[in-house]
Formats: sequence, structure tokens, C-alpha cells
Amino acid sequence: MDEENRNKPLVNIKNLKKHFIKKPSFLGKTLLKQKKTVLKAVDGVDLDIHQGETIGLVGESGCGKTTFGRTIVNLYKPTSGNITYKGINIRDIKEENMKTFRQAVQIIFQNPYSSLNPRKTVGDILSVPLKNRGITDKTEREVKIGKLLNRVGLAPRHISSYPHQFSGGQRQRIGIARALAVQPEFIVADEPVSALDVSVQAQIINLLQELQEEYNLTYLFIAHDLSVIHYVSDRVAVMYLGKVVEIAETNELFNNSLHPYTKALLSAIPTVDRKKRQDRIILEGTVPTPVDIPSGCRFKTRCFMKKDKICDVEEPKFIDIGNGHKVACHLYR
Amino acid sequence: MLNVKNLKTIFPTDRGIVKAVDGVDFSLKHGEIVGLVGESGSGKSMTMLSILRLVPPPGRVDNGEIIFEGKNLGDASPREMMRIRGKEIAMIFQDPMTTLNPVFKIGEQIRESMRIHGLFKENEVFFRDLFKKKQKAKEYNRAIELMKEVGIPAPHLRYNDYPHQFSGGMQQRALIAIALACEPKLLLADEPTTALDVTIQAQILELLKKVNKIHRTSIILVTHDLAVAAEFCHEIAVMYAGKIVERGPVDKVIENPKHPYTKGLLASIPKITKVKKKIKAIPGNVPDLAGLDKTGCAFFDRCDEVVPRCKEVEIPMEEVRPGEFVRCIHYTSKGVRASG
Repeated sequence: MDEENRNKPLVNIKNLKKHFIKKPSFLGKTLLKQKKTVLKAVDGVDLDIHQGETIGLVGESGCGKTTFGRTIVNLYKPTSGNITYKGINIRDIKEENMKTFRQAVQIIFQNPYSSLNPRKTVGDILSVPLKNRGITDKTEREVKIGKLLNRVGLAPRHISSYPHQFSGGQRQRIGIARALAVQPEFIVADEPVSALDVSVQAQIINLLQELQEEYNLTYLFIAHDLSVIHYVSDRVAVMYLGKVVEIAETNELFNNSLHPYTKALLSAIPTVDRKKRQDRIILEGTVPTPVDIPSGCRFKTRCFMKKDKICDVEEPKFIDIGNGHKVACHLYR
Repeated sequence: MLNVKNLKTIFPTDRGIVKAVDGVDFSLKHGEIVGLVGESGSGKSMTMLSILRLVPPPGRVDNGEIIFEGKNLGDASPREMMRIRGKEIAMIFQDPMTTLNPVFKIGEQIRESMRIHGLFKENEVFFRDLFKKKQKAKEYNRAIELMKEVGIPAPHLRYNDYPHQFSGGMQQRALIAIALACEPKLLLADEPTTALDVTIQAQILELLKKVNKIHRTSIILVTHDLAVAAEFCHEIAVMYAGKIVERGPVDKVIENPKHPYTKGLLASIPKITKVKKKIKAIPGNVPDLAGLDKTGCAFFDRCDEVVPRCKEVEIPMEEVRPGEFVRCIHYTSKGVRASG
């Protein structure tokens, strides 16, 4: 990779917001004086993703990881903010050119049981993206499907099987093959292994890494399992209540975490290694609802290092403290 | 205190008999925590349900003894079992959202088992209504006390909440409160933290540890997460395809695993170290119990130390060192491991 490409991110995300608005019904509005509620799933995320790297995105359930991933691949329209892919703002892509974008950017879903149509054979499922790529010849498609299946560790004879005939790990392989079929550059992997057994999980992670090397793929790897994130990522972003609170190179983040939330998250990982076990920081309470985000710092309700009044009043800025290690906390300013 | 011997639970299906639990032996002392580790379909949950005699039909316990405090639960009448369930042995299920009844208040659900087991029942039959009020008040106080103990904030207010008003972690706490209501001697926890986030998981495990320490409650923790078991338990039993393949004190099993499956499981967990080592996956999938061949080791097709005899002979559980058991051909007394 030359110097110019390194500096130019593949995906550039600026102040991305995705809010879901729930309007009250007519009766609720007139009789009960209900107001509309706004669920701020993603609430201002800045992120650069470079060619060929894997960004890990961690956070607890309900912190907006999945919404963020789906917004990037344009499955949700962002409320505000900009996503630029290779210098082109996604908003400016015309409907007729959307296909090119959708082929360059793919997503692997979390649940291999619900993301495959149970009434279609593997051949049907994998034909759709190939047709979209403009391969109209049936025999050519079948050859391609055979190759794809081989690549993800299944056999070409599986082409006429239905999803229910496969185990969870095999289904995830089909999902990966479907994403690969259009020769994408950037893949959002939304918790691709969390529904799988440990021994199978390792197979899928290794497969994803091999594919990355082979096709020079860029991944946004969403997961809640920190040891998986550590294993696959070059950089890790920690998300809390719709915002990235800390981002750094993987080893830097795991050895020198700054944000109290990251610290607590890291200390909560159970490990098999007895020597590695540290004093656990037990966070109190749970994540507040994204409908009613606390004022000031959004982590203040659970923070064990809360400084002073400033945490209540001012939202911390996302600042770079060197080497691309960024953190949003009043302790570091 | 609990002694399970050669437990077998079977499900007759149209594809033949499925041996969900196939000859499980283990024992548990007072105040001890045992971890039952394995992948989905390995028979962990079925073992728990068999102990409580709650195996859903057409499944049934086919063989084996479950001796709890000197009493064989296999011989107990349904009435006796009802007295044991919830009072002597309590269970925490995996998914709190589906375990709690959505139409009853949390507090009432905590009170329920005290009422059923007559924890505060007065002996007098006359003027029962008079005593009922007193009993109810006692139960209410105990429920509040329990909610406080498991860390539900503002218990007086939360008593009247319904399950959907609780978060996942809080629901799990409520379940633990229900399980603890009658101060059981044995707690069966079936994947209590699987549905929860890491920070909440840490809270719940801490709480269970506290319960174990204060009440000296024995706990059987069922989990697929070897790391959770490693931190939490005194002893670990690793299950594969209905059989325990390795059992022993936690440090021995984790630091010096003997069975190839345990080794494989440990190698497939990514570890957080400075230098990333490639993780080694176990090839293949968890076997389908219905299609499983009867004789030999069920792990043979995924094992990297397989020898032809694995499939030919029934492999017994062997005590390698006092307290450490392995079910592998390389450790049977006749063929003690020749290499490495």
C-alpha cells in the first residue's frame, strides 16, 4: 500500500447520527398529551476505516453497534452526518449507481438461522448476488457457486441443500459465501460468531482472516466478546450509548486503556489464565435507555472515576492523545 | 451431598433412541461449586433436568442413581419431589425473560415458592384467616430482604413491578432471589449469564459467589464458556455428546488438560496476549446424537490423536490421579499413554 492510500481512509464517517422517532398516535397526542420520543441509537460517531484493516467495534447490547453497522452499508438512512466511501458521499450516490456501492460493501449478519431464506436452496441464495454481478449464464454461475462453496469450506454438492440441513457454523459459512459472491472490498461483520459454539467459532474467525488476506478485504467487525475482538482487530473502537468513547490500536487499548468504561469492560472478561486475572471493576447498574441519554458525560451514571461537576454539565470531546489513541473523557484534557 | 451415578437420559425418536445423557457420574460436596462445561447439545442442561426429574416427555431417565443427602431421587414420589424442588434444590434457568411469568408481579413470584413450601405457615388450622395475614406479612418482608440481598435497588417499589419493567440483569437477579427464597442446599444454575453482557455477567457471578460463601449453598454451574467456569468453579466436568470426558479440580483441568477435546476447547478460545497466536479450531461440528454410533469415543472424527481402537472399544472413565478423571483411550490402564 502506498503512502497516499494509507492517508486516505476507505470509509470516512463524520458525526454520524441515526435517531429513531416514535410519534404518538392521534389519541395519545390529543388525550394523553404524549410527546414524540426520540431513540438516539447512534449519536455522533466519527470513524476512519483504512483499506485492508480490521476495525473491531465493541459495546454492550443496546449501545448502537448494529445500527451503526447497518447505517454504514446504507440499510438505514442516516439522520445526520456524512459517510464517505472512497471520497464519495453516500448521500450523493444516485439510485442507479447504488448497485455498485452495494456490491463493494457487504454485510454478514449475526444470526445464521434467520438471515437465510429457509425456502431457498443454497444455489438459489448464492445465485442472486451473482446475477446482480451480471453473470447470466446458468452453468457459469454454477461453477462460480461451486468455487465459492469450496472457498468457505463447504462442498459443491451442497448446492441443492436447504439451510435447515446445515449446522449453525455451516450456515454462517453460506452467509459469508453470499457476501463474497459480489467481490466486495469492505465487509461489515455484525457479530458473525456470537451464535456459534466455541470450537466452531474459531473455525469461522480463521476463515474470515484467510479471506481477508486473500482478497485484501477491509472489515468492520462488530462483537461483544472482547477476546474475539482482540484476536481479529487491528484497531478497536469502544461504543457506549451511541457514541465511540475510545479508539486505539488493539494492543494499546488492551494494555493502556484510558476511559473508565473500557477499563471496566476489560476487567470483566473472564479468563482461563489464573495469572492474568486482575481485580475486577464491577460496574453498577445497567446502560441507561437511549431514549433518555444523561446530560453531560453519558457514562457518568455508572462511572467510578467521576471527576467533578464538569462530568454532569459538559459532554467530553473526543480528543487524540497521540498515536491515534482517542478518548472522550474529562479525565484526559 | 449429591452423588450422581451412571445417569442415563434417553429420548425415543423416529430416528432411534437419542441418548442425551449417557452414563454421567459426578459428586458434589457441601459448599462446593462444580462447573459442567460443554457445547450445545452435549447434554449439560438435560443432566440438570434429570436431577430434578423434570425431563420433558417423551424423554425419561433410563438408568442411574441420583443420591441427594442420602436419598435416591429416582425413588421419590412426585409429592416428595415437589417438596424437594425449590426448597432443597433450586434451579436458575438460562433465559430470564421466558422463565418469569409476565402477568405476575416480581415480588409475588418471589413469594410464591415460600407460600407453596409453607415457609412461614402457622400450625393452627382454626382462625386460619387471621394467621394468613401474618404469614403474608412475613413472606413480604422476606421477599424484600431477598431483593435487597441480590441487589435490586428500591425493593419496596420494585416489588410491584412486572418482569418487562426489569432489564435482563435485573430479571436474572429476580430469578436468583426466587431460587434463594427457601434457602436451598443446592443451586442448579443453567447458563445464568449467557444472555447477559460482560459487565452484567461479572455482577451476577459475583452475586452467586457471595451466595455460595454466605449460605454455603452448593452450586452446579452449567456453561459453555470455559473461562467463566475456570474463574468461578472449584471443580470442572467437561461434557461431550452426553458423556463426561474429563473431570477434576479446576486448576488441573485448565492448566493440564488431558482429553483432546478439552485441549481443543482451550486452544480455540482467543487469548488476550501481546503477541497474537493463531487459534486452533476443532475441525468438524458437534455430532448429531441421533446418528451417533453406539460404541467407542464420540469425539473420534474430530480428534487429532485418534487411533483405530477409539472406535472399537468402549472407553471407561479412568482415574489418572486422585480426583482427576479422563475418558480417553490414551489414558486407559491397559494402554497408558505411550507418547507425549
